[in-house]
Amino acid sequence: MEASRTDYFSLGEPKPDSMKLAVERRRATWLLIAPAFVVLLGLNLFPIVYALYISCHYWMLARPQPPRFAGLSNYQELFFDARFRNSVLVSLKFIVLAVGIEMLLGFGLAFVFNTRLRGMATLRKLTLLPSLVMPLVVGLVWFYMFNENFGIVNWFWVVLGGTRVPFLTQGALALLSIVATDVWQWTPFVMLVFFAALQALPEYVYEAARIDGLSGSQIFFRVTLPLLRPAILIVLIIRAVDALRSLELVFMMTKGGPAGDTEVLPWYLYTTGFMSPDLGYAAAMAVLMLALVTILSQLFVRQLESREVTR
Amino acid sequence: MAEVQLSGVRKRFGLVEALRGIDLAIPDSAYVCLLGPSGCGKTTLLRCVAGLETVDAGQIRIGSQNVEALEPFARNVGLAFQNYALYPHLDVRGNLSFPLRAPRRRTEFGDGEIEQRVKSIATLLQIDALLDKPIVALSGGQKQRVALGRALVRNPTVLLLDEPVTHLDARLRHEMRVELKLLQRRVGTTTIHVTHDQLEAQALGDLIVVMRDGLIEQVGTPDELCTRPATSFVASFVGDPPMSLLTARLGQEAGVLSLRVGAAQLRPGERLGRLLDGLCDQDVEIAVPAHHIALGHAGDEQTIAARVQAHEWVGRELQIVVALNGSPVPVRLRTQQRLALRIGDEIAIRLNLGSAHAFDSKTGRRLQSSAD
Repeated sequence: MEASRTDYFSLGEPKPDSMKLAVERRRATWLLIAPAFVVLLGLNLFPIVYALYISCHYWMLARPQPPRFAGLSNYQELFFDARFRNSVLVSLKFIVLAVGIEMLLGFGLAFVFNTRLRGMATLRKLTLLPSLVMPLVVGLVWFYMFNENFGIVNWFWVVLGGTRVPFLTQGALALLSIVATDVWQWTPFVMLVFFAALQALPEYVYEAARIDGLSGSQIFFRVTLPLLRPAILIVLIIRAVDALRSLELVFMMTKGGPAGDTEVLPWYLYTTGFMSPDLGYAAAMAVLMLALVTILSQLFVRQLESREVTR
Repeated sequence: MAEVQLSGVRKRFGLVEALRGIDLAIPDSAYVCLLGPSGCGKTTLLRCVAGLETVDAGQIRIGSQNVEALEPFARNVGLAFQNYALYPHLDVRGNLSFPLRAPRRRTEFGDGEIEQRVKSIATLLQIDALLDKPIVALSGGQKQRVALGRALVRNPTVLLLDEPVTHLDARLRHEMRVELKLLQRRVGTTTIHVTHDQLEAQALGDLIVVMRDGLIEQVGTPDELCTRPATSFVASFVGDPPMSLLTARLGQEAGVLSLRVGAAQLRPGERLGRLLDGLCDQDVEIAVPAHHIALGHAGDEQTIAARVQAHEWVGRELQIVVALNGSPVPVRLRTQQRLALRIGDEIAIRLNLGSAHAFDSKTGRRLQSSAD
């Protein structure tokens, strides 16, 4: 072999042999990552491309006709679909409310759990339980708890002197009930991330801040908060994207009702794709949703990457 | 700039008494090193002066002001932490200006003045080219300079340095040592520097405070610590290499004082003899400087049998650590002879007690004659 004559230790001019070696090495690199690349391509890229393909077709599963190319007409139709617009709006409402409350509550709880009080470690473990439960089960449990006639929430409410509240069947209340359920399930996760971030904050920086003359609230706003920024952004991305995709609670608790007041985007997509079942239209919706998720997460990621320097 | 006075300072952490009554007066503009082994309380003392720890008892005065009840900020001290403690989310300029921009100081400095102060301190520390760099992009030495700059930027009355050069590599440590000294001379701020490295303390300190177990063993100039150690601990801790401690029993042989070390009999000589007069049949501790211990021949006068425990080259000299019969404390000597030693070899060492120091074996205090 020619390569065996390569003198690895020679100094000075690069020899043709070493050029050949570099090429060989690059080829080996590609060969080695090829299997992973193929798997990734198959698992990630193919479904997306296929969804794009379907979204450009008219394809009703309930009818015998094969898929027919429809160009961008599915997208065009979506543009004028009031029900689609409503579902995007409901989704945004849900995300802002649920994730907003989760962030605030989780942040506050993290500070509480960060205090060195007796029993905090046990309490912390217990609070994590909700996030370990399957979302479908959570939805089922809260569906029963919020039930107007025999739910435990109403039972307490009546005991306290109130009249029965139709939590899941009255417009704004229904969405708020789902938000409450989501908050119940996901606040512990948010708390856990913030707690870990707080634990990792360097003690000595706080001492420096005390010597530099910052009061408690100033330390919070000018040291703690900036240092927690990465954690805040990461939790925001994870929770916002997750909330945008979440279907289980609506599926178990309201089925999008009443009158579309809780019809989040995934629910509309689900009913279109599997109930109607209009695959082309649903695929177009999925593609738009993917775009939304991508834009949303890119916004956060860019924030995360920009090393902002505060003065 | 001010003097610092501590009197009766005590601090306890749970069951551990970190400071057991510290009295110390630091003159204005002095560079003082707190020196001692790990856990001796030197860092605790520094943190008490800074106000990061409250004292259980005692007084701390900076200038004419009692500060032990004041919060750190109000004491106007600058503290450079061992691990720099820079604000990781800010750049160099942000870190340097942070103490000036602390909202409680807002009224004191305008933007222009802050910028000017940051610039001048950065120039002083030769980091003016780094002002816009984020902290994470700096090397250890650069971080150290920024930490120093942050401590100095608001003209503190006292500059506190907690092992400021410990994390740097050896060469940089030496450079920074020189710079620290020059810097302190230039700004003239009273400086307290905590270190466990006695070479560092000797190189930097106008005064060295040797601490042990929460108490001060000795306060003195680098020279005093070596020539007149106040306790046997100081003698065995300071110096490169430190003096060797021997436990000896004082006896009398035909009317002449003699020191029994293990099986060997040593004559104390005239100076030492005067100190030891009247302590017959008692144990004393004798500290002998390394350059007064030499290799000898078994059976000679003033010679003790020893066993080699370790040997290593220190510069051009061979340092030999030997164990004496019946003595748990190793003895160090240096020689320029080129020897092929093996661990466990039996050798003989010859002691010159002409400049040895004697200490009470119970209290560890130095024995001294009235003329001394």
